[in-house]
Amino acid sequence: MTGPCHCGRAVLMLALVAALAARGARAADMPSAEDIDAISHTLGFIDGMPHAGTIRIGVVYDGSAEGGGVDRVIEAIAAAAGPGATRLGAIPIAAADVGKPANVDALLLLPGLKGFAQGITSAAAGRHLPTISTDPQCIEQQLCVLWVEAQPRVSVTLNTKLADALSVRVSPIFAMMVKRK
Amino acid sequence: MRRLPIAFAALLWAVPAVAQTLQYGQLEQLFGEPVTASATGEPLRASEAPVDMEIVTQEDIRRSGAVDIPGALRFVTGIDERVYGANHTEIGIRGYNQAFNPRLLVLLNGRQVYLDDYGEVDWKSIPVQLTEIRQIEVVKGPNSALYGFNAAYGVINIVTYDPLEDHLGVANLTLGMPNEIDGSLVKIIRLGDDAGVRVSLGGQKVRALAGTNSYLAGIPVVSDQNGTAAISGEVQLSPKTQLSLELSATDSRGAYYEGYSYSGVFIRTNSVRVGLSSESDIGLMTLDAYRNEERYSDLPNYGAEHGQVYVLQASDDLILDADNSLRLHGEYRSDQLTQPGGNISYDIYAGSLMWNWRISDRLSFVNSGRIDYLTLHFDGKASPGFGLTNADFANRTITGFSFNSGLVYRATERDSIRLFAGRGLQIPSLYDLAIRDRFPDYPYGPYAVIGNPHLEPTAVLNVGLDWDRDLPELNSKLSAGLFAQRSDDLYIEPSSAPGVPVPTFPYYYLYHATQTGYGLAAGTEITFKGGLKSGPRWRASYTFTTTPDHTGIDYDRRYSYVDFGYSTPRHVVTLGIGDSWGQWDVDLQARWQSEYRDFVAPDQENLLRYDIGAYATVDARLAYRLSDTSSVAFTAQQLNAASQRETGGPNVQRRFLLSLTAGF
Repeated sequence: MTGPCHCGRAVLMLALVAALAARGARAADMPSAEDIDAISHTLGFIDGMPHAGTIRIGVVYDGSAEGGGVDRVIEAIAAAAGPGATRLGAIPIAAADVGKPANVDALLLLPGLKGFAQGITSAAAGRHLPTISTDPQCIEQQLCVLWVEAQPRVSVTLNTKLADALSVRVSPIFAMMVKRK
Repeated sequence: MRRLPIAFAALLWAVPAVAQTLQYGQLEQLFGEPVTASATGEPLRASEAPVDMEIVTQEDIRRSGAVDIPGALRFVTGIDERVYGANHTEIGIRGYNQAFNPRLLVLLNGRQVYLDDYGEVDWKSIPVQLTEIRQIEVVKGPNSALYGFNAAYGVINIVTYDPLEDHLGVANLTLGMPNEIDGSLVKIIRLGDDAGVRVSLGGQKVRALAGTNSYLAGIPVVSDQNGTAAISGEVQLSPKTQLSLELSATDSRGAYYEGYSYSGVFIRTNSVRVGLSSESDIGLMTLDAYRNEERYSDLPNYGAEHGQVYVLQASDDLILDADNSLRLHGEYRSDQLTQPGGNISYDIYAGSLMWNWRISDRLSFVNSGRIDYLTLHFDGKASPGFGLTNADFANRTITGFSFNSGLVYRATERDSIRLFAGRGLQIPSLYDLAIRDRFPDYPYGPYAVIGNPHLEPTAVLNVGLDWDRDLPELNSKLSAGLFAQRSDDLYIEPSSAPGVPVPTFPYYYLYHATQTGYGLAAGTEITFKGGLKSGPRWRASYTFTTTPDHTGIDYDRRYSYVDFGYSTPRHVVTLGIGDSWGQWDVDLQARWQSEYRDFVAPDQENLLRYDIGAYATVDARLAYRLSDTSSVAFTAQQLNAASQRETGGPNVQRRFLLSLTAGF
């Protein structure tokens, strides 16, 4: 027994699935809880981080972009333990406002900030702030000192030139163990 | 909670200033795997080390139920263990294990605890407690390019918790049957934000093994006992400079198997060590200086011997650019042995260079080379009648080149492949080169042990290929490796060498180290290890080792108790399983090995090759966690047999241990 072809509906379903998958892939670019955990440990090897109390992370995002999961990232940071005896705190910073004074110890750059590169590096240089991201483009864009990814295995890449330019110093042993660009 | 978060009471303390020493705990937490500096001197993730290496963690040690380091290594792939007595265990890697095995370099936090005056390791004279060990790093194959002479077959580096990084307080009391008591106390004390001290004390008393051969009957050893004490401090002098100071002392006494019979032996050691690490414009500079002292005497007092080692090391780790780093290393070493025949010593000057080239994100190539230059010194006169003059000793120098090369390829996110080659050098010990021990009053007939200054170092060439595959769905890892090894100029140390009849009175026999030719070794090692987060854990391994003998020794006609072709079991299988339920932990480990050959001397005139048959050992541990840092554990060692033959020494007995561990 044969019935009418539902090809149009199938194509529509496939397109919907593809769209959802694409959304998923975009969302995956945002730091995961595992990424935040790896970033937290990484902070322990950067000079100038507080030894106790709270390490304040400025979460820089594109304020003009829709959604983006910033709230989820901030919640994940608040839930993560800091290195050693410290805690982590997150302060959302719209990329357009990154030059304004903010009491932070490091900047976590969310994806999609290419258009704000000059402002971010100027702000980081002025306060010797390490810039960290899980976005693989950030190293090539000279935006982040450290690119961290937790999956499938922890990988940390240090942008040595940008670290020098921002006067950010890391443990020499840490520098030997991570990838360097 | 089904598992302890980390080792007993070893918790990260605080974020130190940017450190100049390897922060094992923090780096392990970041990368999710152990880190090591034992492969090249440069800090590396274990998975990126360009050598064949296995790391035994504190959790592995605790779950093994072991009360000493050899016990904790028993189930490691490629480890050959021989238990000759409560105080005397030998560990071998890559073949040729024997009583007083000279072919394994052992270090404690990089300080040599291998006794190179005699060329041996006394595990009971290592000033460390099991509870203060973060990890034991086992390098299989030569690593002389980093460590120099005597890292020819394998290296074991014991790494302890760090007084600046870790917080640790733990006391342990273990009662064993038959007649055993062990105790230890370890505490890290923080002195402000920038200083810390680790203090450790420990001791053990065990009834000597019964059933030793006839020689032991005349020697008044009723118990094996040992004690160790150590204090280690670190100070962050400035944000870029760190200072360390370490003192230790040990006392060990008991029955030691000398390859044919037992002797009662006293060994006392002490050490002083100072280290300085500083970050500079030309890299991370490290200075390390230490002195080891050893006092050794046989019972009943054939003579007291005194060994001293002075070591000064300087190194510089330098990042050249994104892809290249270098490590420069210079070393001076002085070994002295004072014994009734006089003083003998040598000086060693060494320099090495390591180059780590990261060809791509997936491929790295590490090369190291080292040159060692040794000069022998001899105080006194060569004994007449043995064919040697003072000039034979005084003019002796040895120059040796060693290298290690390793290619590490991360083929996929799950797979990594390592191809490596190395040349290691095993130098004859001071005893082998220049000893003048004479025993005119020995009850079975006068004899002399005379060193041989013409001995050449054994050159070990090793190549290997390893493949590791991560199995994240099982939280496990599968490792498989192949190796091949050639040892040129193998030598037999005097105490193992054939006795040569001397026609002239007063010495009937001369024992003299001899060079014997070459040996080959090849094998494979396969390990599957892991555990689910929900609790079950497992481990299985298989090792095959063959050691074809090309020494030319006719074992049927020569009086020798090293048989290079048969001293290593060909097949070794280990299995381990464990699980946790609530506060209970259960672990079961088993090991089976095929036959090998050892030696026994039923009397003064005969030495018999003794084939030790295949045997299995099953250990079980049941523990109840009273809190996150305290537990009670019951361990049964050799559960499968009340008594079984494992060496040329007496049978090894089943052992029950009740252990109380308290964190504070």
